[in-house]
Amino acid sequence: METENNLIQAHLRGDRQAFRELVERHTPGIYNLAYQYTRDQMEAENLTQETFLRVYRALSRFRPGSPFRPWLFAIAANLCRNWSRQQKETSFTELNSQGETDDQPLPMEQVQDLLPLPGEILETEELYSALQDAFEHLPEHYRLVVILYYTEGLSYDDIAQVLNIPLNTVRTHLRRAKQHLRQILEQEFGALS
Amino acid sequence: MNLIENISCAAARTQLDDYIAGNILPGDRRSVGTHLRSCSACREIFEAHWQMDRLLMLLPRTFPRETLANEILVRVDRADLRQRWIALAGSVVWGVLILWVLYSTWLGLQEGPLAEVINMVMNEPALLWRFPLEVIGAILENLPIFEFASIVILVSVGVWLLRRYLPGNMGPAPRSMREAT
Ligand SMILES: [Zn+2]
Repeated sequence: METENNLIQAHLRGDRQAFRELVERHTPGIYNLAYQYTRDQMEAENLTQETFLRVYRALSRFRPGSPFRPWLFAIAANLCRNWSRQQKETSFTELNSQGETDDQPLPMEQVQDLLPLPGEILETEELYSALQDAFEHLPEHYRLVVILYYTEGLSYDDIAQVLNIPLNTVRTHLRRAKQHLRQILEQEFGALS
Repeated sequence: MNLIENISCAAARTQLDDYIAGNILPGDRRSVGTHLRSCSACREIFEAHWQMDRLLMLLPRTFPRETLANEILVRVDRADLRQRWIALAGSVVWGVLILWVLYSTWLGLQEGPLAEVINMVMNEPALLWRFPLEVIGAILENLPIFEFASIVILVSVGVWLLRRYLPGNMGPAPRSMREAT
């Protein structure tokens, strides 16, 4: 399989098939990010299209040899955040306003420790859908980190690069995301001991 | 001698995520592991992290419609075509402007002092090798500077426009990822 860098060089030499290959290879990842972020198929498709349109325009200045995937995801993530800014009402305003600000790096010690969910919950069939519900209620910036890490498999370093945040903030966001999820699952399943 | 690195609960807890993710140096990994085996409080927190980690791995990946990639390519092609038309239209306008300035310059040359210099040289070509510097000086001195500058500016702008909007080379370069959007 051709590397992304080879495909980009081929595209710049006028090989139309090369850009097609890039689009086909990365549409699922970008769509997944956009869909998990917006939870709306139409918006996700628009954001995916817009991402590749911008990639097409910017490819000629892509630095050869640098990793393509983080660069691509950075474009998509920025578009997602712009989209979010344009949305007047967000359902997570409440969660966000509980003393947390975007991208504020906190020492890990200040992030509260997690406690395990009781075994009975893990055995329930509702857990899977509860998890998805809980995920939808995560603050957006945590959701981005979670998607990039857990479903797209990017490393902490890549995520820091994609979102333009310090490495430690990536760790803090992931940790807080887990806490939020646990809290939401807790509410979903009633008081947990 | 059995060396067991003893680390504090706080130190172990800050490294739990990296420990689970495998983003940890072998020495630190051993210290955290040793600590977890001997400290039930930290072990409980580790289990919670590990549990959430497994849960998050269950998050489903959503796949796009099969035709989406094609639709993207169609949209990119359309945008590309639009850019080509813009470039073509821009080139035509610029070409006409350049021709117009060239024409008016040529008209000006028919009667101006430069025309006299050229006529003189045409009538007596020997001037060219006998007094080359004087001839060039006379031409430069009488060159209609406004028209000449206009031609240079128009040609430069035209070349810049073509380079900017030629397919595959559209838009200014992003210096960083943020700028790329
Ligand atoms: Zn401990």
